[in-house]
Amino acid sequence: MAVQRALAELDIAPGELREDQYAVEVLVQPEEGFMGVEGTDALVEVRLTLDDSELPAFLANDEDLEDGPDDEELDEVYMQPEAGSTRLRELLSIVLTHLGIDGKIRIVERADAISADISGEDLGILIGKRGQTIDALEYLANVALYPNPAARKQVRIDAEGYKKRRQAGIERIALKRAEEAVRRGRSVQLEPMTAAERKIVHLALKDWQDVVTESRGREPSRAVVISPVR
Amino acid sequence: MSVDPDPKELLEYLARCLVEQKEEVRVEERETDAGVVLELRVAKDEVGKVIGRQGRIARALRTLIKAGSVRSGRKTIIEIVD
Repeated sequence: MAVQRALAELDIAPGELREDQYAVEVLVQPEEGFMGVEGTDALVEVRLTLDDSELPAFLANDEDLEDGPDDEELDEVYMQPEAGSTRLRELLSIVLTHLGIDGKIRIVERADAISADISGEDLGILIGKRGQTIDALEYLANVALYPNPAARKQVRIDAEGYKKRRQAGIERIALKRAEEAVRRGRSVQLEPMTAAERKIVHLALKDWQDVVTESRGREPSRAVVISPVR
Repeated sequence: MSVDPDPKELLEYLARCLVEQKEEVRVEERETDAGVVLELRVAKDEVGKVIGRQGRIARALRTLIKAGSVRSGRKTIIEIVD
């Protein structure tokens, strides 16, 4: 169960990988439910062991999907559990101070990801225009905490659920425009978006068999084009 | 920890998070007509770590520092010196 969820988290469909293409490490054993208390699933760390050439195409080679730090930086580092949370909390509290924001930081660390949600008043400066500031902060936190891609967790930073709302809004637009592309039988171009926003569109439509997505143009007017497949 | 918002200190802190030779990180502040210029210096062999592939890390640093200087109302420019 936990393994399936972890793979889903990495956007890998069940059955897409052979068992020799990933490694599983059990961090916390599962617990049986007892007397009406719900059992807990195991906590596992799943690492892909296949090399780049075998990666599903959408993970391998789209610059919009590249969130992670550069390769070949630093040798093996193995993080202690919770070490990431401590460092992330320090980084976020210093950044918040320098942005003049008095916010509360809540961090949840799992085997494969650390999520931070910041709450407080006046988070506009932290979020920035179209989420650019919080996206930049998230990117820097990823690179700073995990320079070595082989031992990294995904770091996610949100402010009062802004990213969730943004994702829902963009997915709605993506689906509507994809239907339009199919109905009219021609490509439609969305409005210019940031890299993080374009990534939401690509991911939202990656399982649609009858459209393909592609980013065109140069920043800041780079935009996703959705084309019907004939 | 209580510090006043200060783009220079923020840049120093972030740069130290990104490199290994933390003692080599220096930020100098210059006032110019165009605004405040922050000159960032790191160890020569680690310049790539504050620039990133296609300048992505440098861009993220600029975005954050810009957000940090909104309240002061002073335009802040980052120069990475190598």
